[in-house]
Amino acid sequence: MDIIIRTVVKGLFPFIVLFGVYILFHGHLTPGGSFPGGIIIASGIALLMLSFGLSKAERTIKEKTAHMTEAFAALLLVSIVLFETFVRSVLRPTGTIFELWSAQQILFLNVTGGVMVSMAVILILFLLMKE
Amino acid sequence: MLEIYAGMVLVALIGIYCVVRKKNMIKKVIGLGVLTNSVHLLLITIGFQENGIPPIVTPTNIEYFVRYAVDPLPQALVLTSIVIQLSVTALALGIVILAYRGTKTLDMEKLNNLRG
Amino acid sequence: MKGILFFACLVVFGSLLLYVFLTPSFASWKNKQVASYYIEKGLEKTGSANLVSSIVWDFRGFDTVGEETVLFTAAVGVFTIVVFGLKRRK
Repeated sequence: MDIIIRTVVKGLFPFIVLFGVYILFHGHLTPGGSFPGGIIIASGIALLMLSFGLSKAERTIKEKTAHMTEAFAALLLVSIVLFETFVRSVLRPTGTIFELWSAQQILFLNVTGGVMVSMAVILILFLLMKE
Repeated sequence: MLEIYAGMVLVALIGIYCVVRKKNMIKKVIGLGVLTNSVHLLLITIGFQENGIPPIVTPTNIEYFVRYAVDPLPQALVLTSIVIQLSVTALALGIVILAYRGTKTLDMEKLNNLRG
Repeated sequence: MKGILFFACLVVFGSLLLYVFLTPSFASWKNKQVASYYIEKGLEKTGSANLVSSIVWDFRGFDTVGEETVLFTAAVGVFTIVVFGLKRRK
């Protein structure tokens, strides 16, 4: 694509990922959570894919890495939610309210869910734009 | 707040018109998305509160929170439904890509004579 | 001819929907029992300040697990359709 778009996207991509990670980690204090945070991270990769072409974006995250990470995160998420009563004594950051380390298991669940949603959307975008 | 219900019915009618009467396959997928979004609008309007504030507890907000907060349950349902809409749109676009590779056309009228 | 008939069907359907939605007691905006339970007891039972997150992950966690399954199935389904589409797998 154009040289202006390529320069702007190259400079703006780390801030988009940082913003998505911020919305992920503060899911129990501000509006947001796992789904908007994961989709913002995936939209940063989509911006790279549109302006540089598919091969340059695939060097950032390979398709096999996205596949494996998504399957592992899905397994971890389902196992934490279904065996919650046994797992609750292990992950118990009951700090004070309105702090970052406060809700019981919602912090870990948000991060795991956000990883899974972002990898799933990146995989769908890679597959729909092949050839 | 009753005019939001009328707006929802209008958007749903536009979505149904796009799915039924357009010949291009991608326009039909867009109409499916518009129809789903109108149902999300209806769900959120059900949790209405006069002079409402969003259901987030902050340190300055505790005294009048219980009296004025908006219903948080339909918002959780719509959050789930948006992800399901994403999955349905992705699969529908996958099928459109497969149909284009097989028949080299995006017109739905030309596929009316498929025989087994 | 087909366009006018379809437009008439749409008008009939829209008026039926409007008749249901504009009755005065469709959504009771005055007496909320389920919402007041979540608003009053949400903070002390889960410890999270965002009530929508506490509903999505704590009070109704099974719905979220079902929806993650749908998203995972859609990703695997798109992979199967695009890669193996018109070939026959032996």
